[in-house]
Amino acid sequence: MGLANLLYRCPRCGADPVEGDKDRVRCPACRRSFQRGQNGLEILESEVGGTPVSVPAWSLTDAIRRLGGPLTRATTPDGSVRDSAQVRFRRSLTEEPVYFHGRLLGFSETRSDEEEGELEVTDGRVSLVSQSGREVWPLLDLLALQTSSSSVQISTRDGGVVQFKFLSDSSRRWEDLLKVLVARAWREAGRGEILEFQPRIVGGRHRAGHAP
Amino acid sequence: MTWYRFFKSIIWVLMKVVARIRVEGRENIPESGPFLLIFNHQSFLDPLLAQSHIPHTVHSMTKSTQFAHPLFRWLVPRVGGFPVRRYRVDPQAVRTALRYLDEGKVVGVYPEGERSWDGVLQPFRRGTVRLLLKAGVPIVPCGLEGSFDVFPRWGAGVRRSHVTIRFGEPIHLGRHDDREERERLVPETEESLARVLRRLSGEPEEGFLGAGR
Repeated sequence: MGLANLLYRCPRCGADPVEGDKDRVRCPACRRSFQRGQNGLEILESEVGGTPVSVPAWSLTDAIRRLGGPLTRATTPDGSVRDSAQVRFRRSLTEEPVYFHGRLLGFSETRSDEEEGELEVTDGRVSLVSQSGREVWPLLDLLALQTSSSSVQISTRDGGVVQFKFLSDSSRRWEDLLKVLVARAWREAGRGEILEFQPRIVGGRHRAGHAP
Repeated sequence: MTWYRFFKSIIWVLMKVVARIRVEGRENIPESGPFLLIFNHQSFLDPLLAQSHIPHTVHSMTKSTQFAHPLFRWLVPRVGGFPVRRYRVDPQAVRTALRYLDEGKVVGVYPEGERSWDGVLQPFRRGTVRLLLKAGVPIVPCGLEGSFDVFPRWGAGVRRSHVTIRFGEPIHLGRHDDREERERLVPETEESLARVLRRLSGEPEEGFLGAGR
């Protein structure tokens, strides 16, 4: 995915999806292109035939958020939310102690082999369809939501941890989408605003400078 | 030669290959522990860049999934790492960190808990701030500027660039054993430490860039 992991939709016209490879993203609608600059914090933005202009990466991610982030694509004409993606997933099976020089350092999890499936999210739940069948987790039952290199992990009320790696979609999109929907579900259930998503989802006051 | 020193010397050479490194504020690193190092987290390379340029052995909280592969399970403890489970509150990780500090050692933490997608400092994990308040040891802030340029989170490859590793003066938060007091101090401690890390990593000190993420 490369840069399209970060800029999963056009920060200017909002087109979704964009065409991207390693260090470049091109919008099929407005034909702007975005390219990794010499400085990674800066992205070179070019209009067709125009001179590239350097813009901070954070301002582009902020623009995507203001355009509705992942919700625009996920919102159906009747106003409900539905989005899906092909994933490789694995589950945490057991926890094993990690010793060094005879002393307990902590615990790490053993994980299942990778399987393929389809992850789907709607207003109230996230579900996974695979060869093993269909599993459904209500958004309000998620205990934690964490991201790593190119994957999103959920911790569920039954004690499971499932990690999803996206085969042809942006992991950043799914991180944003799940966070927005879980936060909305919490708000609607009267649980308040979410303060943090890991190591467990906790509600509370807003943080200074950070909207929910 | 310990494994730590052996790998540190290899990584030092590798880091010189991928980045033009400049270290500032070395005089702010205490000669001996215990102390905590806090870093901003822009790149996969941050622990390698930082630890290869710090004279002490640094014991770093490392996500538990890194220990899944047998090779890394052997390697990571030898380069100072200890596991933290990110999908649940992990009291053992806190115990291990405090034990190292009690022994006069140096512990490194990344309060953001994960790499930034766009290079901008993210909110801190509240549990990490609680640990900083509980530990009662000096906190040495270390800002990494430029590691995002070398290998951003979304990046598909390494691109050689300038990296500055900047150490700030030690911060003394005191020891706060009372849970309620710690809880009360979390927001202002986060804000003040974030301001320092932003300054050391070349971001504007005031206000969160990309606020509302």
